[in-house]
Amino acid sequence: MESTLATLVAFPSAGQLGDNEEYHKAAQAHTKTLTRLSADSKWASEAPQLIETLKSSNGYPLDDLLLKLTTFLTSFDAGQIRYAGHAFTKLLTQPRLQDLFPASIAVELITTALLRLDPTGSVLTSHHTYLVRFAYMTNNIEPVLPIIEKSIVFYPGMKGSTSTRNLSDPDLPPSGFITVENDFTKSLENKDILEHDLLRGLCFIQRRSWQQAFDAFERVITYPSRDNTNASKIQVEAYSKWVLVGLLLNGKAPVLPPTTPNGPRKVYEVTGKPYYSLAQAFEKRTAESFKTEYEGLSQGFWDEEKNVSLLKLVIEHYQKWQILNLRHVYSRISLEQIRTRTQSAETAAPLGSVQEIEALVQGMIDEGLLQGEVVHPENGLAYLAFSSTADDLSEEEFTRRMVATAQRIKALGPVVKATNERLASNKDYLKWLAQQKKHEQQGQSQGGGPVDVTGFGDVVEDEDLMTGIVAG
Amino acid sequence: MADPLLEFFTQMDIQGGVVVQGEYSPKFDLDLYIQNYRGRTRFDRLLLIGRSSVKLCVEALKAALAEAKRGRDTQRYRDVFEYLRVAAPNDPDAVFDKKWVDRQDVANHEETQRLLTELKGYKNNLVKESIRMGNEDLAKHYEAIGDLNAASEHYSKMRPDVSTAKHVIDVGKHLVRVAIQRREWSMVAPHLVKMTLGGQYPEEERNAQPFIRVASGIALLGQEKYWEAALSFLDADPNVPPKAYNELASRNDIAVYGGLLALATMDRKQLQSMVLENQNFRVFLEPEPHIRRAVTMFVNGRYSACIEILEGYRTDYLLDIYLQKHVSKIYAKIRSKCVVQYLIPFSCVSLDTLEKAFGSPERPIEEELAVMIEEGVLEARIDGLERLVNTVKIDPRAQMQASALVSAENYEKQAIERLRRMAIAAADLELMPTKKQGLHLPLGGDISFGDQEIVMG
Repeated sequence: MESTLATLVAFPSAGQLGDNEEYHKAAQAHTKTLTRLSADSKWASEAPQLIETLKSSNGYPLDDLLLKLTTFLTSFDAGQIRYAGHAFTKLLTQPRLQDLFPASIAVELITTALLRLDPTGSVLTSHHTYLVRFAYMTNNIEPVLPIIEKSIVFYPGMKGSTSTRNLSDPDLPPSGFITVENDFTKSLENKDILEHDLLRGLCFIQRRSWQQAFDAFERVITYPSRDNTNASKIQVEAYSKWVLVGLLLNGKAPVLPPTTPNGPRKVYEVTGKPYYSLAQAFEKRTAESFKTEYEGLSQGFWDEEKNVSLLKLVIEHYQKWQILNLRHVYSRISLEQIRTRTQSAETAAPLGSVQEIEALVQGMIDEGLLQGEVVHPENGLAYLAFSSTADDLSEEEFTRRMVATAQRIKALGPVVKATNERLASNKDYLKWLAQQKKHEQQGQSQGGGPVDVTGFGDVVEDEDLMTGIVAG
Repeated sequence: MADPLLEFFTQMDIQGGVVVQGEYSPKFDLDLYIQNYRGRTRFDRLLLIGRSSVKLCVEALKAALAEAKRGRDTQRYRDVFEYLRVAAPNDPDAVFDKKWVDRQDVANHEETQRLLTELKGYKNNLVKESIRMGNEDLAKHYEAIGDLNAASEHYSKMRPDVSTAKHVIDVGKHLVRVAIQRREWSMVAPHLVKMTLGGQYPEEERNAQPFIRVASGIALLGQEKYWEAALSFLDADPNVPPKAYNELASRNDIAVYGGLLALATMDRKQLQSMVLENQNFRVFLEPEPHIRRAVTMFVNGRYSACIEILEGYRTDYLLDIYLQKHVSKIYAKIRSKCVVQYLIPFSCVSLDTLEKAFGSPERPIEEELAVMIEEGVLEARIDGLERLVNTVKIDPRAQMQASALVSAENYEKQAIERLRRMAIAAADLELMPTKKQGLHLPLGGDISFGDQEIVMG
């Protein structure tokens, strides 16, 4: 037992080792020993005693294994963990954390652990897909937000992502060590990715973060497709939600981004027709056609599409958006005028009384949807005064938002670098590079002028990744 | 029995036609009006008036019937007779002349055959000029009997055999005329382009100028390109006798079209320099002094007077073959321009003042303003409490800031999107055709949306 314990704690802490190279070698050796150790039959009998020993030696309050697990997941060494992908994955999945902890804590723990592993949150793993699904199913959205608010730009299985650099290299991008080979994730299929973004959108819907939900669904519907492949069922589902959320967010029918591939686009146009027509009708001045559109589709349709609650909100928002749009026309408007000028989408008629309008308007103000106030001047009528500066940014607000955007763009730097590195080690690129070099040498040996070298883009079949995005 | 005229116009209304009510009496005399035109447009114009004006209905239909009978197009005769039969069944003219129709049909057929044979002969002889003339005769015949498709085809066939500048102009004129009759507005411009001779034949070009301007104006009007149409009409040369273009429009029409469209699209300065001080256009304006007055009023800032004059002529313009469809749009444009111009010097105007200047009993000015603001024609906000209209001054700084933010945010979004797409491509994770081409399986794993309705917080 002594020897086991000695082996376990044999790894020196970070300060004791010199450079990365040394650290890397030590870490690899240690990992190997541990793996061998755990396979040993002696391990099973010795482990409990070991814990006892550790308890007394370190003074950890270890009477609770869960607490220890918690402590580990929230404070493990982000450098060392790179060598322990297998253990990391095991810890998160066997036994499943949600069987040990209440769901909300399990979600929070996994979220924290994943963000410790990859603070940029840019690499998707099978843990992510599992976590988000679990969080959504158990309605624990709040604790998972830090993860789902990050933009994922890397996926397991990318060619050329296995780096030649050591795992301990502090400059190694997360996509360099969070790989299937290192056991940090299982390999994923495109439907996992689509589902992940769809679920993110659903989580944001729960939070009523319409913009984020809209963006998440947009990722699903613009997912690249090769050879005009049709949309998947998940995409069709996302499209319908994207339209509805778009209505809530902007009060008008969203336009498919130019990056939408042609195959799925056609599918949306056909299968998404009811939603598209609904969105068109939403923009009309009178609620009649909107009402006809949503009533034209049976309750069964909405049930099947699982958009009942969302639709209810959209119906509710019809009149709200009509009132909001009045801010472009009026600075102050009597509630009675609002009553006659706007219609409830439920009845396709104006509301019955000014009191109802006042309640609605007040609700919108309280909700933060509308900037303004209801005033009661002496003439006995009630008016809605739109705040005049609602659309204009203050200098501070402008600066704040500009700086925030700049910082986010800056934060993309390492990601871009990682992508660059990966692409630079691409086989086709290297082939081209070698060719060019050869041409250059030939040019020199012949003493001729500059050699006309065909560009990289001409050699490699041009994969049009962003059709139309620049124009858009 | 119900009033046949009433029944007739009910039908016209159902068919979506414009009906000008009885109490408005047009300000022109039908005979004098139609004398200004030549060719097939006469019938078209008479028929349109007959279908639209309650007051002139029977008179115009009868005139159209006579016009049809003077020509060779029996289909036109049948059409107008049908209208007259419904509108005035007891009129002595409402008797179908079957004999004439049959005779004319036979004659038309024989003439077609004769001309076809002739053309064939010319072709065998390979004399270019004869072939050109043969085609022209045949096409003219087709046009006269109403087969515009064939006419257009044979007019086009003239083109390879043209030898003089006049021929080029003639082919163009024929084709443009047919295109306008068929209301193929987009076809007019290409034909017109081929009529330009590059300054080598000043005489021919000068004579063709008003035709080209008028045709292009009418085509642009048909495509709702009002500004370009206005420019085209304003540029017409008044020194060429109307015979050169009255198969399309009269001198009066040029004044009306040009004036109205200019009012609808130009600001005061442009109206002053391009309409009132335009020596050529002044000549056209002479017979239509009210257009000139309306423009002058607008330029002088007397907007309500301008609108008043125009309203007096609204029904007349509704009886014009090319204007009819656009009258309400053009008038609305002029009206909203008047309101906008009226508001320019003020930062704040009371609604009551505006009501006095522009209000009409049918529609309160507030509603109209609201629509204008919504459509972006007017930058203003209505204050319903103080009953004021406040014009909005655009703050370029705020605009710049907003657009800077948008581009920064777009940049970020695009960058992420590009990275994501590259990664997906590198991981071979794009959607790919599966063996069973079609929809992918629904959400897999242990999740099922079937029993999980979204619970709204």
